[in-house]
Order: sequence, then C-alpha cells, then structure tokens
Amino acid sequence: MKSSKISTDARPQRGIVSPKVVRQQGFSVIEAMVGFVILGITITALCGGFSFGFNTIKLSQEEVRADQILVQKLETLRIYKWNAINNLFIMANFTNYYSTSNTLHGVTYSGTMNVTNFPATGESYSNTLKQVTATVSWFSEGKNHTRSMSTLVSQNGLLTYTNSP
Amino acid sequence: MKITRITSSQTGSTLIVTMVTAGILGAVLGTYLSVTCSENLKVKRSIGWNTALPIAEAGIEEACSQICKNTNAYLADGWAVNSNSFAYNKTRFLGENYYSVDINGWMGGVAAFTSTGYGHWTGGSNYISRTVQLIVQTPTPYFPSGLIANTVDIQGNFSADSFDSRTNLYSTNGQYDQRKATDHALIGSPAPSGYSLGGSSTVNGYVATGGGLVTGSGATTVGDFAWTRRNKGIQSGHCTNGFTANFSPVVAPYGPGQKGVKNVITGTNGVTAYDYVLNGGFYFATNLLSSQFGKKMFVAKDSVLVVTGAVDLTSITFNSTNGAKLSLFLGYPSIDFAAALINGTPPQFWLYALPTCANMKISGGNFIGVIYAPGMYLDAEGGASIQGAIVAGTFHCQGGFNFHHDDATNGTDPKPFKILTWAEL
Repeated sequence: MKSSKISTDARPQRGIVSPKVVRQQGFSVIEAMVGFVILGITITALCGGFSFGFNTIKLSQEEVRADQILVQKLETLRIYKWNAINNLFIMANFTNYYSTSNTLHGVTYSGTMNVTNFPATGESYSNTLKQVTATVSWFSEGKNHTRSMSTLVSQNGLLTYTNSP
Repeated sequence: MKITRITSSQTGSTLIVTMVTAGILGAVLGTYLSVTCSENLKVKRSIGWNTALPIAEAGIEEACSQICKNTNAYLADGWAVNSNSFAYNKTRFLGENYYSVDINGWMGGVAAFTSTGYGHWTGGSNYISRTVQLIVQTPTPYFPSGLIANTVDIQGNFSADSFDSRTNLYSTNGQYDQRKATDHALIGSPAPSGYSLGGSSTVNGYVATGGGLVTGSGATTVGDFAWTRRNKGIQSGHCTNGFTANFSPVVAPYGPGQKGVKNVITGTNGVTAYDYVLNGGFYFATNLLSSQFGKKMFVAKDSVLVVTGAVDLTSITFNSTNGAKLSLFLGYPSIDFAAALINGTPPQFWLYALPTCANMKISGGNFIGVIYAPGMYLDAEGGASIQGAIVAGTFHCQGGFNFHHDDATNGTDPKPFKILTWAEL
C-alpha cells in the first residue's frame, strides 16, 4: 500500500522523521469538525436566505399583481355613469387570479368594491362625490394578505369626459 | 521506507478551504439578499407609483365638484389661494396617501386642474408622485334670464323687450335693433311679496314673482308684441307667481399683490392711447381715476380686473377682432357707472359687484353687458338703457329706462363644465 499512513504511536519510529506528528494529527480532526460546523451553518443560512428571498420575491410579485387588479378596478370607474356609482351598480365582490393566461391561475384574489359617501369636512359639494375603496385579499405562504386602494368619483368629473358624445 | 511529511500549509487547509467556501457562500447569500431587497424596494416603489394615479385623479374629481358647485366662488369650501402659482388649492389625505390639486383659471373661461397624487412607499422620500392635468371649460356662473331683483321698483317710462346678439336675425352686428327685437324679456322677483309696475311700463315678455302679484298702473302692459301694441294690463300666460332664483354672492377671485396679478397700465391699441390697456390675464387696481387719455380703457384680450376703489371711465373699448371679454369686479361702496361700451356685445362684459359695492347708478348712456350684483341697489335713470341682463338686490328706475334682454346671456347659450383635455404630466 503506497498511501501515507497516520500513525497513532507517539514514539518516533525508525527512519521516520516527524517531530510534530501528535499536534498535526489532532488538529486535523478538530479542523474538520469546525469546518463541518461552519459549513453546516453557512449552508443552513444559505438555504434560509434563499428561501426568504424566494418568498419575498413571490410575495412582491403577488403584491404587484394585487396592485394591478386594484388600479384596473379603480380606473374602470372612470367610464361608469354617475347613476351606476351612486346606486351601487358596481359589483361589490369579485375574484381575480395571479395569472389569467393559462389554466394554472396561481394565487386567487378575492376583492371587494366599497362605495361610500365622501368623507366630508363640511364641503357643500360633498353630495357630488363618492369615495370608492377597492380591496383584495389573498392567501399565500400560510398567511392572509390584504391590499386596498381608494379614490374619489365626482358626479361632474372624468365620467363626463368619457361619457360625452 | 517512505517518509510522509505533513507541511504547515497542509495542516490548516481544511479549515481555510471551509472558511473560504463559507465566505463565498456568505457573499453569494449577501448578494442575493441585497438583490432581493433591491427588488422588493422596486416593487414597493411600483406599488406607490400605481397608487399615486388614482389618488391624483381623486384630486381632479374634487376640483370638478368644486368648479361645478361653487361656480362663482372657487375659494369656498376651504380652498386656499396658492400665492406662488396663483391657483386655488386643496390638499387632502386618503388613508396614507394624499393629493394636492390646483385650479388655475376663472369662471366662465378656461381653467387648468393640476393634481399631484402622492403614493406612500417605504423608500427614501416616503412618497412618490404623479401629476395629472385637465384643461376644462368652466361653467358660466350665472344665467340671468332677464332683469332679476329681489325688490323691483319700477317708475316712469319703463320699457323691456329682448334680442339675440348671436344672430343678425334678431340684432344688427350683435347690437340691439328695435326693428329686430323679440318679445320674451323677463322681469322677475323671487320675493313673495310681488311688485308693481308704475308709470307707463311696457314689458314685451313676461313678469314673475315668488308668490305675490304683479300690479300695474292704468297704462302698464305686459305680453307679446301683438298684445302690448293694442292692450293694457297683463296678457294671460305672461305672469307667473312661482318664480325662484338663488344667486350666490360675488367673491373676489384674487387680491392685490398675488403672483400672476398685473397692474393696469397705460398703452395703445396701435392707434389710440388709453389710460388702461388690458392685454389678457388677471389685473388689479386700487381705483380707475386716471384721466390722462380721457378716462378710457381698451380690452385687447380676455381679462379679469378687480377694482377696490372708485371708478371713473368714459368708455371701454373691446378689441373688435377677437371678441375679447372682460370680467370687472367692483368693490367701491357707491359707483356711478357711465362708461360707453364700444365694439362689445353683452356676453363680452360681465360686471360683478362685490358685497362691499352696495350702490350703483347708471345715468343715461347705453350699458352693454351683464350686471351681476345680487346684494346691490341698482338705480337706472335719465333715459338709460341696458342691453344684456341684470341681477340685483334691488332694482329701481325712474324717468325713462329701456331694458333689452340679450338671449345670448341666459341659459339658452349655456357654457357648462366641459373637460377639454386630459393628460398625465
């Protein structure tokens, strides 16, 4: 056998000159153990970090999609006639998905449209304004998430532009 | 015999390699987390960016409501004047987001609504903004449909009829022409007590009260031309007693010294020198008493002029090439208005009496325009005539006075609120 040997005998053997054998052999084991521990911690942190990162990105993407849904809902209001808004013809509940381009929809968003009176502070025109709040909630990574967005709609506002002949 | 020598470098290699590996992995993780953090921040910014648009539009919507409700008082309902941009401003929070909207313009003209929405996000400045601008036609604040006053006190030889300055069928080059006059002038009072038509009053049109009766002397006649030429009294169907009218008090659109407001100065129209030349925009004057060039004013382009002091004018000449308009706000307590109005038709000249302007007298001459003075005592006498429309607190006339209502000033030619353009800046 040509491979080198690690001797456990502390005494010097004939023909072998190795004055630091004892220290070198022991340090090697400790070294390996410390290295193993460090590597273990590093890999654990790496896995945890990547997992956290992936979850953060996934949640961010879901939030962006939620935001798109909210903006879409609020911008759609601009083409409604005042009667539709004032008489609550807007669908109060809706469902949307993370992806609508394939059969796998991904996360499901449950939304609500809430039309309330303008939070007036004494303005004489408060009866010509409505506050509309769109809210979506979804379940992801073991948690419920919610986002909402509000805007105002005026009886004399942009709808008169979009509905003008 | 083989001698195996463990060198010092071999001794520490496992630990070093492990630590280097750990370091590399840590760096990779750090970089990844940093990228993730950056990505997350961009997403938050994107969310704030998206949120800012509906918020900015909310500001536009509130401005629309303000313009349509307070057609003559853009300062009402807690709006403030922004002296830097010369605009009416409102700032409002909707949750953690907010908007700041400016109205820059005036009633019966064109205005810009500029709304900046601020969406909240977690990055540096905490808010990210987007701006939307609308150019709108603002509604004409009032449509006086005749001579409307809470108290009507008509004496002497009063005559009323109507015309239409928009067409030569019922006017001559926009001016009243007796040969083309029509018979639907309105003399109305929303007061419940009614009023009387004294002297030899002739109303070619209608009379109306808020509940009382319209009475007249023996020579009074009210009705269409066919009636008034042959009969006395009030023609059937030409008197109503359910008349209502509600006119808001006048609010000055601005005060002195505000940014964007100019002082009136002397000038010419290229031919004639004038004491005051209005070249368009907003003007302010403490008085109009200059007599250097004969107490004359020239309106070159659409202008708004606020005068707090006395007024002494012999003429106001309108640019005949562009139909320039003048909105004149008067605040002096007592004014004797005798200016001749040249080249103008009634819709081009609106005279607003601020609440401090309590009395106005029109002695002789021919006033062409709209007088809007819901709290003022308006006295017309000495053979005066008014072409246009009148809203006054009290209207009194004696001697000879002719009122020619211009259909172009009333609701038959409304200028409703209208959005002309919409853009994100």
